[in-house]
Amino acid sequence: MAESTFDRVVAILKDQEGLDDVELTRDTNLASVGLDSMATVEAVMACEDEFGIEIDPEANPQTVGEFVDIVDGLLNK
Amino acid sequence: MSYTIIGTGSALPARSVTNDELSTFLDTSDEWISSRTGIRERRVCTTESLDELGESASRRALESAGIAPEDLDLIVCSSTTADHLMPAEACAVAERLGASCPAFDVSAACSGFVFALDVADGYLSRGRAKTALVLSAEKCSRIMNWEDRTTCVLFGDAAAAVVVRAGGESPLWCRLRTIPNVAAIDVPGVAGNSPFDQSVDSAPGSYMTMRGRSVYRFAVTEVTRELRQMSEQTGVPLDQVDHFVLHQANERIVDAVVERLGVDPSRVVLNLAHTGNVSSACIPLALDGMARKGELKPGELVALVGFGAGLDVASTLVRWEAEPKATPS
Repeated sequence: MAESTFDRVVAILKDQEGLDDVELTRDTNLASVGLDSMATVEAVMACEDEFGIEIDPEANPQTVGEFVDIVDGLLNK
Repeated sequence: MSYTIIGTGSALPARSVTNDELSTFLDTSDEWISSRTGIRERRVCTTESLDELGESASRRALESAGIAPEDLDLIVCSSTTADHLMPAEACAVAERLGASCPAFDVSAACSGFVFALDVADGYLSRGRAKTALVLSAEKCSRIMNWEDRTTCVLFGDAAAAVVVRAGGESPLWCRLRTIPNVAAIDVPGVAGNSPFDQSVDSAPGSYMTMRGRSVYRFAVTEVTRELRQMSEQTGVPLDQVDHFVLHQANERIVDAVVERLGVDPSRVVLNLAHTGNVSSACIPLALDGMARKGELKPGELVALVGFGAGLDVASTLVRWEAEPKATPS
């Protein structure tokens, strides 16, 4: 079975520094696990490469769920 | 193949402002600023004018080059924070130096030093000048909103200059690019008090606003692209570049570029901890620091990359040929 968007986004987020062992759910607040604005942009850029999409540079997801929804929204266009 | 850098100089204001001091009037902390930017303190003008800083940096550059102001054929100054909207900052510095050569400014924000160096190269290449002063003078503190913790903590004031002389191997590469995006980093012009002006661009207050996410993404993507292009077009592998001097906007941007390119971090300059982002003065300030510490050896290759408002990005590859400073006999 193909990986869900959630799993693929979480894998990218976990690539960011210090997040290997952190459990991420849809409700996880990105800032609370140490993902600041620049780390979020890094994850956005990695998602663009992974999914072949273009995300608004000023997109500012606050939670893992919001991040996944942005990606899903673009994939379903 | 037209110039050699024969001298460097720089000047900083006396007053240092630490992150802790900023946290006394802004909702921020040393940990927050230093972990996100690598900046621990910055120099800020109090009684110094930018004209004074520009003159001091220029005199030091002339002294290290062993030439007098009257030997200059051209002064090009990069500044977007000058003491005067007119005349050019370069004119104010020329007056103070006692130079009478053509003097004008280049406005390309944080990329301005590489733009100005390219302009000077044009004059040298066309035989219109033999010796030029390329100065970056920035008083960023005047365009900051000191109530905005997302921008004012990043910047500082400085002036730095190089003297270039016609003849030599540099530049091995130079490319300037603009990817227009005014809103990404913007400082509105003077509002004035024209009773006729109804334009929306004339709001009072000339403070900087910045869309940080867009700028971070632009910087990391385009600086990486520039250095790859430079290497491809010149045939110089990146591991043969002795020093990378990137605009010092933020340590995290430099780190991200280093990671993408896989270059040796020890060859990448980081000098923003004690001065912050001093806009176009970052690159010549770093060069002067390295030259005076003996870290630049004749024959070494130095890649310079500026990036910032515009959005502009500019890269050049120079062969360092300046001899260590000799005492004039």
